[in-house]
Amino acid sequence: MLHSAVPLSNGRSALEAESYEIRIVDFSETPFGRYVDDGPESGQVFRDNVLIPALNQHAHLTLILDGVEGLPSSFWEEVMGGLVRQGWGVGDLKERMEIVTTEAELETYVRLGWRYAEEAASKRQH
Amino acid sequence: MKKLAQVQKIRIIKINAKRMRKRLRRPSAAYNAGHTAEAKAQFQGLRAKLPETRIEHERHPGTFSFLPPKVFSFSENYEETFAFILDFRRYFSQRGKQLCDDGIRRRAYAEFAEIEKIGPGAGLVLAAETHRFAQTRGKPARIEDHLWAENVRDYFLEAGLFELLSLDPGTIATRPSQDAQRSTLKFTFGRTSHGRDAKALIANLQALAGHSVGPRPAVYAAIAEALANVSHAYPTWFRTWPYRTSRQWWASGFWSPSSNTVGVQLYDQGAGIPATLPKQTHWPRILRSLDPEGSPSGLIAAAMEYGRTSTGQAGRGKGLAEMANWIESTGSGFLRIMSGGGEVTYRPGGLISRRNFNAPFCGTLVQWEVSVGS
Repeated sequence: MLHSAVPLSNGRSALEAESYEIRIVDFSETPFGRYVDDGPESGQVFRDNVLIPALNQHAHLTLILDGVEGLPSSFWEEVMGGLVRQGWGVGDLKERMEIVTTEAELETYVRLGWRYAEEAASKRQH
Repeated sequence: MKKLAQVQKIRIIKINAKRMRKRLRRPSAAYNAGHTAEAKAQFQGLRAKLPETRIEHERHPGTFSFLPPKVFSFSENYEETFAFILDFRRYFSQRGKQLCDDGIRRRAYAEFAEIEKIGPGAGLVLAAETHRFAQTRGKPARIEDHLWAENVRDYFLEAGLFELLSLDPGTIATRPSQDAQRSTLKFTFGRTSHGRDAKALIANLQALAGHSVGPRPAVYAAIAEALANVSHAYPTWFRTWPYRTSRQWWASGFWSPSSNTVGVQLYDQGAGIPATLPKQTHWPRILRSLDPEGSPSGLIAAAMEYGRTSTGQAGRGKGLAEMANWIESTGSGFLRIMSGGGEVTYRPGGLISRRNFNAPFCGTLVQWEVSVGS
């Protein structure tokens, strides 16, 4: 798995330099469940089919939360904590990914997302 | 030894893979029969722990009537209410006339007319039982709703019991009165759960109340987590009797304008949270440390508490805690989880009360009641 920029023989990065936007609402307006067994709107499906391919292709991502009904903890933990469990570093993610929302009701999920990632990282260390 | 050609090798691999898939999908008949016998023994053992339901012969010609309690509510009258639910399941799962104590064969008749007061949770569970009954029969049930107490009849008419039973509206003997005290949401049900089910339930509840029922993300996450839990409710080892395991859920709700209260009820007929939690790898150690006595309600409360204080990948604990966030975000009402042998009621500020049942409940019933602004 490609976890960070892979230098080409000419020294240039394989990642596209421009920032890329992902709107969770384009994946699902109603994110639901943790694993693929919980359905096609689950955190695992979003992480593996949308987020990781984008991270592998782009140097910088903006993850936009606007428009979703909510982010149930099972979904959101599997996305953010799951990235760390799959080997991504929290520092690397914070450098390359920004989580944003314009909706006040969803702001708490920005902080919560990073908290899930940090929790997963601290568990991995133990 | 003769060497296999590549084509033969592929064929054998495919056959073995098919066999394996079949084995994983469908347990053997003997395996099923053993588990069904076990489920039957469990059902009978459970029923023996509860009081007898009152039975009257020939109240209606050719029938034996079994009578529900006048107060049909799990919070106010758990044992008698649950005993009637189990008898409903037992009597109506059998076809044809049944042998009575006096040696005469009669048809079973559930005397709903006896019910004077019905709780929303008990109403949903009874509706689920009647729905299971309708699913196993080709012809519609006969209902004499004109004999029922007005509030009970109104509740079931509004909640759509007759639609669940696939009854032609023309056969309904009465029409609902306009009760300003409480409006009931129509029963919904499903075999698989999705986020859109939670969204639809919230939208219907808001339409009933005429305004928001709480912060959108908190309400959605609470109901979505409860629906997602249904997929854990029916593990592969789980069997039921007399009906086969349904893998279904049922939901309803209400709006009470006089108290500005909304309620949501979600029910499944699964193995229950206390029975399924400890099977997850890391749970036994964590829960034992939080609840040394290991009672059913203690397990649910400990799982909820663990979810509230930890953010990690914690299986159902975090989901249970998130179900309580709706209550916390509005600062009112309660969340009640009745599952297996225990019940936990959560109130704002993390106040938890518990009770354990002598006769464990069949499945999980989650109820929210929240005061919302007018």
